[in-house]
Amino acid sequence: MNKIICISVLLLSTLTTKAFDYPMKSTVLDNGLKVIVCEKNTNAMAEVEVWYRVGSKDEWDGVRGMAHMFEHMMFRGSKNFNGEGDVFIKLIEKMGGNTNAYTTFDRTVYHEEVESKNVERVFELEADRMANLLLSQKVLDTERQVVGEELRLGQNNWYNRMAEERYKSLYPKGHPYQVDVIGFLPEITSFTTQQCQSFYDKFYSPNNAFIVVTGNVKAEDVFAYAKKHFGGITKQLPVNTKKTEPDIFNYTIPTEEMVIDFPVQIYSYIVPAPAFGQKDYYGFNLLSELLFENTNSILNNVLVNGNMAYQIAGQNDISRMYSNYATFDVVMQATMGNAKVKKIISKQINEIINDGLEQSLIDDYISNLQAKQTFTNYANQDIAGQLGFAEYYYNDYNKYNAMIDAYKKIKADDLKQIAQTYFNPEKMKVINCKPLSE
Amino acid sequence: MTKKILSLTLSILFFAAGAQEVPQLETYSLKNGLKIYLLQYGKIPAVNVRFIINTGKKNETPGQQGYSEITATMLLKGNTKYTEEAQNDKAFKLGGELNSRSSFDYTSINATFLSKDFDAGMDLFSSAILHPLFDKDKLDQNISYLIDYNNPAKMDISNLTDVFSDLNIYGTTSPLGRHYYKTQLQLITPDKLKEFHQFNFTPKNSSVIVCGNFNTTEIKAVLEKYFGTWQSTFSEVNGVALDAPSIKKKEIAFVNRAGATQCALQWNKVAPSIKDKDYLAFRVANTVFSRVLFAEIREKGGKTYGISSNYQPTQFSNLFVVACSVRSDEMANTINLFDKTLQDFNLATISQEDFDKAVIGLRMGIISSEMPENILSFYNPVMYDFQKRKNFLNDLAALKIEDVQKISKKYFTADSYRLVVAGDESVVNTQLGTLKGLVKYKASDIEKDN
Repeated sequence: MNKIICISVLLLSTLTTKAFDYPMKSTVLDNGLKVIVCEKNTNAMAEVEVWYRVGSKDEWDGVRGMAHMFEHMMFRGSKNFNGEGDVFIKLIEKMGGNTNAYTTFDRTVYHEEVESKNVERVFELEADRMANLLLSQKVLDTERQVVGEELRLGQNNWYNRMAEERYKSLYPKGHPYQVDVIGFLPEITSFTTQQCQSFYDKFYSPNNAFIVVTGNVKAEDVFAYAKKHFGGITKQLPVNTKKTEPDIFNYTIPTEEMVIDFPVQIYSYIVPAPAFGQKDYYGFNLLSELLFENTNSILNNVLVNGNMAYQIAGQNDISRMYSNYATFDVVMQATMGNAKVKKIISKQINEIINDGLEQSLIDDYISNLQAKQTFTNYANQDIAGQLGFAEYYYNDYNKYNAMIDAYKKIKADDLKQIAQTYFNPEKMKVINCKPLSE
Repeated sequence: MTKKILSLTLSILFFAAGAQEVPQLETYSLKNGLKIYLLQYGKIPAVNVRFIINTGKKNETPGQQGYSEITATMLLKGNTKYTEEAQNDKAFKLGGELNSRSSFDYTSINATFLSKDFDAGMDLFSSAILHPLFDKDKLDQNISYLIDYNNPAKMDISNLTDVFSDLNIYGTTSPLGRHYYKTQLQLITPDKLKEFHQFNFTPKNSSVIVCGNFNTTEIKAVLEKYFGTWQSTFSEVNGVALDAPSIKKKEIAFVNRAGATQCALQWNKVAPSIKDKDYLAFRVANTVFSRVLFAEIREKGGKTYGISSNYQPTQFSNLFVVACSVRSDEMANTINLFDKTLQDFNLATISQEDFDKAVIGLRMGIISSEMPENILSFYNPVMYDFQKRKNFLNDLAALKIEDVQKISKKYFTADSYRLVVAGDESVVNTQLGTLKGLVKYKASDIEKDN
């Protein structure tokens, strides 16, 4: 018997925590597959997303890049849907839909946008590749070449090359994020179908996945499709639990300088970030936004608007089951006074450590998020993505609004401690990336 | 990591294009000639606003390369009312940011606001468009950025094929073929940009499109408030006429990029213009062709991560463009495979299944879109005949496979294209020797005004 849970229909009224205007329901099949439905009946479409709890964090030496390789192999055919080329894409396109996938450190997500009348057909396809994926050597050989080209394509860009080189020395051995998602080319080009099969057997199962459907559907219909097509998959895997991670907060990144083949200079700031679930997770994310991430950030205003830097490339990946690094790269004209820029950054951060921030900065950021959430009401994909994130990290899709709720509770003074703990200029790593010609 | 470039590209072409709900259009002009297009659409209280100025690369005279792009950037670098920081701060509080860009044809500023914030948004728009400062320090910083990021010896190979394709197709006698370069950029001053701005940024040369859920009376009052008093010394529409490109044989050009890890290839071929009767049938044929390319060169050949045929005609550039990057030792093989694929496609009969798949894909791309900015892009009354756009789905449904077949024979011919390749010459030298009539470019070849 499927356990149908009818939860939280029509979320809050007009006040600030409301994100979506549509009813949501969920069910869990006997085999552990959870299905979440958001009934957004504003046009004829539906978004289907299948989230697998596997990413590059789950790889081991010899199969670095395997999670991402599956992102490719999963389109190439299964027992009941097979043939030449990207079979899965062809079937979806025949319905007029489109499909894609992405892989991160933590997860692999397959998604389709189709007319809602085709959701059952998508379930049929997804269920077959969850249970009966075909892994032929011929297809693997082709996809190994394709992934090789994907990797080389990135290397053609100077910034990507720098980031790839920098990544190699960031994490201590044994950290789940030690190797970047795309993996190592020598390992990728020697993957075997046996290795692929082992990986598939280890991670692809109904109790290691969940489904989100957003669009013009009735939840009860979707639950019936799920039971019909996924209900018979009996494969069960051990729960993919969190591992112990090596400490990156006291890890010394050995790289001091790098040479880049481009006529600019970069100060690359690297900041260890608390994992999801740790007490400073929200405070760190909020301060990162205010300090360097968004277009109106403190450092952007001082350095870019002040004509001292071309841009600040900031990244703080909040999808982190484990501690990772936030980075902000200050990209400058190669001839500019380096020491001056470093001093300005230190001064800005020290001001936060000593004096805190204006509460209005936090309030403005929350206003920005709230306005954007109104725009999100139009987009099936955005809603499905937010529900998926909440289900993956909170184990509760109803917490899609948890981040903004947490930000609202943070006071300007709280960020003084966050700045002291994580952004103290003496604790941050700075790599000086100099142009080749220097 | 995202796979499936083909699907994604089609999405960009057509997912950015359309809606199930057809917007209601109201058009009028202010007394100063500024054209207003109001596209009432949707139920969510948000609007996308696009301010379009009829000036772009097409308007740049010799020596003015980059003027439209730099002007677009400088519009958001501070004005007489708001510093750059104050402007960004205000836009941020409204939930968005102002974006500006220039293309061959147009310069535009774009943003999405909540409908209740329309007045505040138009305050930002009008200040940026009507009263930019062209601050010298910010201009110098922007020029320095362009010089560093557009160094032909360092730029990405895909960018190189773009720049040199323009040079190859249009030549330096056309503004579309001229690219900016260091010594030319260094001559640009705030006064020169102000003159360019004053000449081109006039009410009669501009349009405002508002798309979303709004109160028409309020919107009209706000537009009058911020743009009604706008006057200009140069009061007429800025007209330009350029010849459409002509490509009558196969030509291959090569640009050396030392150290490149792959070769980038960009094929350019003539296609129908936006207003041509062949437009719709070509779209369908090109969708089928794009899928064939993906199947032959990626799925079977494993030669590239992504390949697609893109068709985005502009006023004076009716081309379709195929681009991909391949490992260097597969460069010549990929050209041969492309030639074979193109020839086979031209000779073959399009199957009913492929035709149906292309048509339904285009249809779905249109009906699936809901965001106001996507609705605006599809119906854009400055670029498209609104009635034709409204009838797009009916016209698509009425299209016959025979029409598409004829178009396929007419445009997807194997005897003509301009191919530009960028890669490391020292690695592909032997392969280059096998290519007939090859033209080799030097990086300095873009350093010409005419």
